[in-house]
Amino acid sequence: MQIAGMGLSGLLVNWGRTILTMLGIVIGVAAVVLLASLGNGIQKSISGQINDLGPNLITVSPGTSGEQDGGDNGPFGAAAASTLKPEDTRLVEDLPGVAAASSNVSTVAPVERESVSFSGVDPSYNEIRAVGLAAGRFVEGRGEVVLSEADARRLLDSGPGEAVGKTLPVGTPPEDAPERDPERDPERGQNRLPERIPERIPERLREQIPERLSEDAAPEQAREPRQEPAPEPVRRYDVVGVAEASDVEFGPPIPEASYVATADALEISGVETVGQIVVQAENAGAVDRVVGGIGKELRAAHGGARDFSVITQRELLSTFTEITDQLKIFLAGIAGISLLVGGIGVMNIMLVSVAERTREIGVRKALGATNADVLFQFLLEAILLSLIGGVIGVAVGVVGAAVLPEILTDLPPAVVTGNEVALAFGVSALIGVVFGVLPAYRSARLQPVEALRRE
Amino acid sequence: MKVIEARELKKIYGRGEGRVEALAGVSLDVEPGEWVSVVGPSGSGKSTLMNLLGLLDRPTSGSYVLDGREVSGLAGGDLARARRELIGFVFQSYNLLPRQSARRNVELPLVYAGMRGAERRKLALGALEQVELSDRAGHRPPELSGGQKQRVAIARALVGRPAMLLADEPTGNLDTKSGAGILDLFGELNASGVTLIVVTHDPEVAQRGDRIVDIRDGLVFADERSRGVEVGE
Repeated sequence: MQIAGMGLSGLLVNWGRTILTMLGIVIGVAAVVLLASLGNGIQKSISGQINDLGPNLITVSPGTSGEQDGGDNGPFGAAAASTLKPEDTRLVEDLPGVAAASSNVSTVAPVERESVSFSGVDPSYNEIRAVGLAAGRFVEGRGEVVLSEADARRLLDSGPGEAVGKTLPVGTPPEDAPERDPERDPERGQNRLPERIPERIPERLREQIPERLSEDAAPEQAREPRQEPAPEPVRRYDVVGVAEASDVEFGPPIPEASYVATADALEISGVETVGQIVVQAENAGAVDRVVGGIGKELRAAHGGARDFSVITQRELLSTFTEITDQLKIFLAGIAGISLLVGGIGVMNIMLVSVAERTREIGVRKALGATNADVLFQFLLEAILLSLIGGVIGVAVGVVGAAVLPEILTDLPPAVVTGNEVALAFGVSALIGVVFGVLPAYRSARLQPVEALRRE
Repeated sequence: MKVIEARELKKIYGRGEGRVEALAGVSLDVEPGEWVSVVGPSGSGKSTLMNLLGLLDRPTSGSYVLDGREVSGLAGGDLARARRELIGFVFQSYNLLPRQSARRNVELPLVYAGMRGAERRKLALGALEQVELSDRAGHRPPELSGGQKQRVAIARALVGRPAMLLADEPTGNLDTKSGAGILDLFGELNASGVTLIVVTHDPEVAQRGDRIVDIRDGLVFADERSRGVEVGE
């Protein structure tokens, strides 16, 4: 026990150096705790969001899964080269085991000089994804819109309650059309282009919409006779509901989108295919059967081509768990490196300490200290150094894990588990032993004569 | 029983061309209560002899019986224990731990002997009283004079009640007055029965002993009663 006291006093004697060495361990351990906790938090947040989709959710996306892995569209929004049609949704809906199915079309349209994202969905969509409504009801037919809370405030300057019952003019007002279309007026358009980049998407869409309107647009829509082709009309949609702001970041819909009927979204975007079909199985046990049914039925409908892929929530979860597991290993690796550096710092200091105290070791041995006594003293110094550093590091890491997500609000809350703390603590103790053994062994092996000879 | 019975101690460093015979075969007997001075020019092998007698180094050959125990074959923990129980060291440069109080320095050998705190403290204070430093027990070495430091070192050497005190140039770092004080202290300790072996190159210091062993070229060149003691008698 007295020898243990010597180990401690050895640290106190050179406290400035001790603190600096300890800092290496503190940073290493804190990094392990912090990064592992952040990794946990990210994993928990992602799997929580995917779980929120419900275990019975099945998503049908255009393209084969092979293309999706390499392409940048991912499984969530490959609208450009879609092969899925609204009729496919009806086919899927009638399969056994399917509770509900909805098309999902993402598009963007101008509303009074703002560009607004719309999700075109079927009424059944609300059953599948449980869109939270702050006011009103969900879209049940054409000409209706459910605004996101943000859009309601932005476009109608209304809270959720006030917005319901108002109308939303979707499309470009006629008097604006000539001026706002750079392709009709190249000189001015080019001049204006830099400040108008955000409006380029609606302008592109505007090109498509008049073509469709010429086929089936309502005759009462206002036109500018001089314009060729005609500018798009403004169509007024009834606001039937306002969706709650949602924290779901994964899944089929574009976050914070406003909802319209599928047919309206197809009309706005001028395409005939849907971006996705979301399907709700009757229960978790029916998922596999439904996946098989979709594959067979849609393939037959597409002339034998498997130009679509079917993803279940379980697959989504395991894909993301794989990704986040790798992320966690990556983070742990970074933290491990800093811990290793800290450990080498401990070894360095202990070697210096042994070299500096050679004479002291000689004296101790002359006074009857055994090799084991000396070994124990120096090993204990190293372990104490690492353990105290470890305790402080865990504290710093836990506090950091609590504070960092508050400062960097993009981070999900970190999840500190006993595992990480025990791991970091165990590793710091291990560092004390591993990196303390060599210096301690060297000190113990010193011959007293040699040791005493040195000044 | 003799304190030291050394027979044909040899210490050879290196081998082949670089082979150096530091001790060529030294035999030495020391009776209890004797004060033996070991003298010799530098390179004579007197330091090597001191290291062997102090169990800081092991002889290449020969036998060494210390306090009735054959110790030349000891190693590791046994060697450390024999050092702790049988020998008290006094060094030229004191070799105190600078950040520990005088009392804690004196306690150090007892710590390694595994003695409990209260008992250790009592013995350490007793040893400091013996060297007339009771009032400096709480001071650290940097706060003490050279003579006082050496007294602390002597107290540390005495505290374990060893069979002999082994001093290497104990007055080498001290002025004449402090050195004389240390030698007087040695005289008192010797008179109370402590066996002393003092390695020195200073003839005056050597003369204070009962016997002077002169080492030259790794051998005992002369071993005779000192004149100082003869005159005193």
